[in-house]
Amino acid sequence: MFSVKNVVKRFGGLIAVDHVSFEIQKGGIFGIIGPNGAGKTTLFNLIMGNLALDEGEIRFHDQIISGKKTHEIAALGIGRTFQMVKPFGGLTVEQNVLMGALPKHNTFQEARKVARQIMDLLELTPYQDEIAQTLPVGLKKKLELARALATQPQLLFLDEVMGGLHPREVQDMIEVIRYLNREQNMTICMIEHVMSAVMALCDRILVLQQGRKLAEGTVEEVTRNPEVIQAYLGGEFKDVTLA
Amino acid sequence: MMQRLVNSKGKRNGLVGILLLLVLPLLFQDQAFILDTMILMALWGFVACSWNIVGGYGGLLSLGHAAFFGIGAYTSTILFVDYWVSPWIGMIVGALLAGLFGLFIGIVTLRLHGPFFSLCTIAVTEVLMIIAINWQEVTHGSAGIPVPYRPGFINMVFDNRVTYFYLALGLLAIVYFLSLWLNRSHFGYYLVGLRENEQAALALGINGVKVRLIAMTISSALTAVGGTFYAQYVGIVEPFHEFSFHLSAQIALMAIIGGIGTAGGPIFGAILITLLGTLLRATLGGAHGGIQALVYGLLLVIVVLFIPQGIVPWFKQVVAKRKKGVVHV
Repeated sequence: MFSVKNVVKRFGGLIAVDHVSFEIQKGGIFGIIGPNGAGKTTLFNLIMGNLALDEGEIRFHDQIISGKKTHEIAALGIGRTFQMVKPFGGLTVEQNVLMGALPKHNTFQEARKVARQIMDLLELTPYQDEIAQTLPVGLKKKLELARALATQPQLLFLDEVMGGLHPREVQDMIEVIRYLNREQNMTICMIEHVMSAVMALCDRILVLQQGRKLAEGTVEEVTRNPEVIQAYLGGEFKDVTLA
Repeated sequence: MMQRLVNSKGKRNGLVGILLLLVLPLLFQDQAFILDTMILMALWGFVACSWNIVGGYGGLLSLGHAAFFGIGAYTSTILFVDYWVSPWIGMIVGALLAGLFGLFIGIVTLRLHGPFFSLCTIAVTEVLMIIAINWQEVTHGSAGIPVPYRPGFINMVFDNRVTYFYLALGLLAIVYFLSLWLNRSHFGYYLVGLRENEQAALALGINGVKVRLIAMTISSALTAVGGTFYAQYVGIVEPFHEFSFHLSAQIALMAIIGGIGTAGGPIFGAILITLLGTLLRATLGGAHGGIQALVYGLLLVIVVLFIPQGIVPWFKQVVAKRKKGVVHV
């Protein structure tokens, strides 16, 4: 459904993304993990057209999307959330979600209906009239997800939606993502540092390190991979398994 | 139900307001001073609302709207004086030219945000002023162009000020309803979304370039209409006023003080500033020009420091808080 082929991004002398390739199957939950600075968010920005790639090609269905503009890529049915949340700060929660629904709906009535459903799903309805920038981090993260969902994407890129949430909230978020994937047939690709969430959700994982693909496979394959363990925990812990 | 009640109440208030506005000038028919103030209030309200489309809803703080105002004033006046084209047609031509120019500026400044955008708009206006002063064959140079006083509908020159008032009021109504539409339309939402967070808006599938350029074009064209009206009313166009930074700043100031990004804010700001200007002129006379600027400046500082959202939104918040308080008690 979605493929990244030999993508390269250089920032001056630094190679942020170095010949990375992977494929996301329809209906799956694909995880991207790796230490800070591995190039995960850069990869998202390349996919969404925020950055121009230097080499390689990105496809969605049978269409090459690399080179297209961000709003065109979004309009094809690809949604994303930002690691650093980017709410429409001065607008209310409802207006934020509504904004996501508007491009796909001709009337406010339809868009509002979609927005309501999503706010209900994410339990944001009690806060619908709050101004977005006054929300605590946990709710801002939820709002970020809600707004992306309002675009009703086929493929959703989540950039650390669990970050900064407390364990209860993480559990809720896992439930939501599972629901989206199973009940709404949404294909999901998530960058995540919270390993319990990755373990619980992802059917395939890509490990990035310093811009390169270190490993790719199922949760079990990846967590047993000695190189991954070394990258995450350092050489001394070779015998420890991540799970 | 609640919404309906509020709406019908709002509608009633609106109707009363409109009736009042229509009857009011008739009461002051013989008092040129009051009528003049009212006409200017409506005109500046119109221009400030036009600015607000880009500056308020779009969050692109233009300090060069005098450029579009001047294009409107000059186009209709040159066509009228030198080619005997009716200012009504000149107004439309001016709006088209200014719209195109606004589109051009929009394209050039696409990647500019915040102060960089503002600086660019200032520079463009300065360039236009220099052109207006030096291209004498067309613009009549630094002396400006007087608009011949030949009252008549086709000439858009009226011997009764009340007509000007109704005309200005009509323009104001158009741009006010346009602003109300922005509050509840896809286009208006996109514009605000791009202002609040451009990257996020793009990721939702909003075509930022298109929205921004349309806003620039509409705002510029409307501002030019204000320029034509002003030239016809005052009876002269001058490069040092029409393309001045002072004028650009005044337009932005009205919207900022009243409340940017709202339909009513710029109108309130225009009323306040015009009133203030008239009062200052009446009490101080023309001699102390500096004092006017000082008072404007002080007002701006006070508003920006204490009620940065502008007077109208601030007032609404206060009222809302009051109401909430009552409910809780």
